[in-house]
Amino acid sequence: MKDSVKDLVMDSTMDLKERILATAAAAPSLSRTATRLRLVLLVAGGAAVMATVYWLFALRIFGWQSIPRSWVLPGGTLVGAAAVAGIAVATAVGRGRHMLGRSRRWLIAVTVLAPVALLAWKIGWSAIFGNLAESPRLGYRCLLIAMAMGGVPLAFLIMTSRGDDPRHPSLLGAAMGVAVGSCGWVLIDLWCPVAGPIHLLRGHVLPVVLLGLLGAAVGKAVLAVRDQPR
Amino acid sequence: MVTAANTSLRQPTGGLDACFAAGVEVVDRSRRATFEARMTGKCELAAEATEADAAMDRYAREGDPKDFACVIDLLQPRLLGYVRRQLHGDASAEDLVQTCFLKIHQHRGRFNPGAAVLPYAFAIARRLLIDKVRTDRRERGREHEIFHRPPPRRSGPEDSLAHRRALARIESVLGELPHHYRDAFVLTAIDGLSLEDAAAVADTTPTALKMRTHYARAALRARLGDDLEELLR
Repeated sequence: MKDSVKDLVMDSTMDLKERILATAAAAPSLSRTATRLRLVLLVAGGAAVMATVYWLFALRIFGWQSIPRSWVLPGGTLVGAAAVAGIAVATAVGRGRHMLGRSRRWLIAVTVLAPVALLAWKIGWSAIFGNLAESPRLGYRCLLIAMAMGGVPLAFLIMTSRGDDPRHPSLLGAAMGVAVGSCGWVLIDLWCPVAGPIHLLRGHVLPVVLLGLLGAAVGKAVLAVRDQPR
Repeated sequence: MVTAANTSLRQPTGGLDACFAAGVEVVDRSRRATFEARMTGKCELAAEATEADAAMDRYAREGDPKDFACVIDLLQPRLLGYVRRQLHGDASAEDLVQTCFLKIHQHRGRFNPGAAVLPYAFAIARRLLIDKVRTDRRERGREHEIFHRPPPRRSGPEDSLAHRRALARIESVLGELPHHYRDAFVLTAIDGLSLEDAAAVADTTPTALKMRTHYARAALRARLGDDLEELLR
């Protein structure tokens, strides 16, 4: 009896199934292997663009900022910042064990804590070496380089999940922005020797925050599952 | 069940205690039967979900339309039921489910091995529903119409008159609950999702969802009395 009812239900919905299969056949989609390849290419492309912009601004236009200092100081800040950036990127790109991506708490935690952790590590590590003096440089160069480096990689990262987040696209976009900003922080850290808190807030933290806000705005429009994707 | 109860109550001859004991036994048996039926239903749903996950995994890897057809077969009745309930039988329910499956197809390459497709499908359907409500609200200005409209007649063969009436009673009370309580109750008690899956769909923790379901159930019980469990059966 139950089977026959089930069969009837199946028959009544058969048209819909055929419609879905026909529409799906008309719109081919990427396999898992192709999707992974696309993800790798987009992330690698973003990294390449970031490196190019860094080379252009930091080395060609503004020139290398070198001051005599122990290699342990930039090495330590680099390792800490790279660890934070790695976690932020893994959270923004990866989905964990299920299809719905990271939970709201994870994304909020990364979005809020990544800039705080980067700043705290930079100040803490530099304080050990007594390198917290403010500089006459206001930080606009750092801000400019970081923003110039972040735009294209953020767009590439958002492209990896376009129209695929049914729960919290703004938060995911913000996490992506912060992840890109954190990667930019690592490179800026190599270039800029200043560790004064005001300079750091203006030149290093502000671009991470701005990229996070940009990611949230773009993510809301682009990452969300919609009937007609934008 | 009534016949069994009558028979059991007629049989004892050892006074009030024996009669009471027999009554308790009948009630216990009835509860056990209900529990077993529910557990069997849950096991069937869980087995279907696992089969759908495996089929989706194969589809993500190989792209064989037969696997996608299998996913549709396994998920479509539940998804369509969910969307129809939310839209109160609105004719666009099928279109919405179609869009939902097309999204799954479109992003099949991002399906992780070992992931669950059911909460993903429900989350997409929920997002599309929210968008639809917003669009309708914007375009036609019918703010409370979709979620608070009385349910029209259903035509599916599984909808018996009693079932329709029961659901109509529950839905009319559900309509008065806050949205997140209603969502939690519908996903777990009516659509049969596990706590973890429903929490993933509603983007909250299983503990919070359990609390919401509890509050929704308490509110429903306050309105419907002890008939609630009977109605949900």
